[in-house]
Amino acid sequence: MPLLTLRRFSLVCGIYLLFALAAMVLSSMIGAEPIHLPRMLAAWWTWRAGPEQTQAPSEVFIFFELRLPRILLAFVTGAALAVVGAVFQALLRNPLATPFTLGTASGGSFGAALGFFLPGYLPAVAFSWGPITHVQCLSLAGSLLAILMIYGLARASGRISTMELLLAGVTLGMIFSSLIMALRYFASPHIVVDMDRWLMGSLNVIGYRDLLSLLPLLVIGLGVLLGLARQLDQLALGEEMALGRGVNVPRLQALAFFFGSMAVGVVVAEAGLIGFVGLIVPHTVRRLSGPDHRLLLPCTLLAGGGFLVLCDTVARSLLSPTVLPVGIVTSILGGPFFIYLLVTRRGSKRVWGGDRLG
Amino acid sequence: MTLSPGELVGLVGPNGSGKTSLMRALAGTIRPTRGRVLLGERPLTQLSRIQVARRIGYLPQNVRASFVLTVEELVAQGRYPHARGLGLLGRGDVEVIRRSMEQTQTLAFARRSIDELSGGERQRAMLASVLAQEAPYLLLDEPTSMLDLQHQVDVFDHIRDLARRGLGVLVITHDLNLAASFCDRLILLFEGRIVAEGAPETVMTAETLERVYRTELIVDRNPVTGSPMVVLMGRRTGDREGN
Repeated sequence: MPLLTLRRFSLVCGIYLLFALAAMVLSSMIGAEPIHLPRMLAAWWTWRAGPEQTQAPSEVFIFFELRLPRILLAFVTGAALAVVGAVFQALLRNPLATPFTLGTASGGSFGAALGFFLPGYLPAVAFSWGPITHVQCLSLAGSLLAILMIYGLARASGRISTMELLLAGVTLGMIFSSLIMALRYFASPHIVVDMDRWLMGSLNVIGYRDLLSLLPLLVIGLGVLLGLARQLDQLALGEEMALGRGVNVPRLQALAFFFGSMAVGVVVAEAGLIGFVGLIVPHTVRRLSGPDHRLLLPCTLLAGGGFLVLCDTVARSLLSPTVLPVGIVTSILGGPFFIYLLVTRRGSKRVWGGDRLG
Repeated sequence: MTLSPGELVGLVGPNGSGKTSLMRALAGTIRPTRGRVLLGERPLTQLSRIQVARRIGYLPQNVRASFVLTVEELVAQGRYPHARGLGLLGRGDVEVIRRSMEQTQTLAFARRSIDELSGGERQRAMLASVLAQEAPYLLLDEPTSMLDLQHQVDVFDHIRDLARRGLGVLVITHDLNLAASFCDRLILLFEGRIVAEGAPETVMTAETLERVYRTELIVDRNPVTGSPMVVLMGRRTGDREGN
């Protein structure tokens, strides 16, 4: 790849932006109720200009209250999972590091499952503060707890290898999964249904309330991560080299782990477990436009958002009017594609270096 | 110990003698438990990491990139301590990057990715990346490990050249003969202490080296360069005493 100039940066980001916008426009037209955009916009315009307190035309209502919020939620969820995946991969210098393999997503989902479960026994637990609910808070706490354990392991035992750290993360994920199983076992059937629907990943929203509640933390989290891009670039040559170049590596790790899991916790609380986005999107973007994080992170954000919007479109329209959980679609669509990438890796340009960690 | 501009100093000693730890302390990536490191007049600990990185270029042992970078990208990363904001490169940066590649003769393969290079070319690219920091002092931890003879000499040639241009260079190596023929001074470490320091002739005496390396050897003179030359006798002194 040529060196990153402002021109190349804007050009490449522009292409990803077009992809994301195209995905959103496409998604907004397809669904159980096909929407003809110009006609809908015209209807919206006349309704807005017309007398107050008339019912919005159904097309307008579907677009603004159901479809658009859903698309936006899909976008921010995909964007967050993908960016955090890219950051974790850089941090651990390992292609398998994702919010899932490090246990943060599972921690978050355990927290959220607890949020469904507990009110049955302790009604006092259920609260909501503005648009923020106890499920969100517990999910956030769960994912932060998971990353704290991982981070503590990484720092306390001194030179723990990346492989061991990943192993610990996967183990942590399994522990949380078992705890969720335990909750399901003891929960009453109708709560189990709620939990399962949510665990499979759902982007069901009405209106913008939920979206607004997750936006502040998400913007802060992703903003910090994007700001770490140059330091993550230095980490590509190893901790020792990065230290010598003037990067405060312990602080970088702390910031990236904390804000990364915060972003994951927030979206997991809203959208449930949506696998694979954090793994395949960063890898694909790296292959397409190089490993430079100043470019990779914004492009991953756009690509991850666009990808999940497309997956959700498929989930909504494939068996319409039945809506498939989007988590199923990401894995079924993304999995084979990713394996294809791995298989064709030989011969074509490799992205991950000769560094075989572990 | 001191390192002055324009000199090439070899840091030698057996495995586990503390060469790398000493170098890390000098580079400021670890804090020494005792003693202190001065950069000019000021203790290293009083300077920010970025300030240190602008004065000291440090190439750790066996640096591997986790992503496949081109030589040019690798060298550009060396501008980190000088970059601001987004870190997009200015004209001055591009010039420094070009010069660093020129000095290490890596300009010819600037667009090749580093995993396609030979070991020697790769180490020169790494060297260029550290040079791009524009630091007056360089600390190099075994830049010639894993290289064949030709590439070892090649890398040392380039390092010598950098010292001639006024950089103060400290290099760790296991090859005493290479160190003797290229370095102005040698520092011999043993069990965490400096046991000998000075011109190669004064450090490389058979008596000192036999004690430190526990190996029977003689020190001869290189017939061409005149620098001291170690010849191993092939039997450990300990074994012979045991018999």
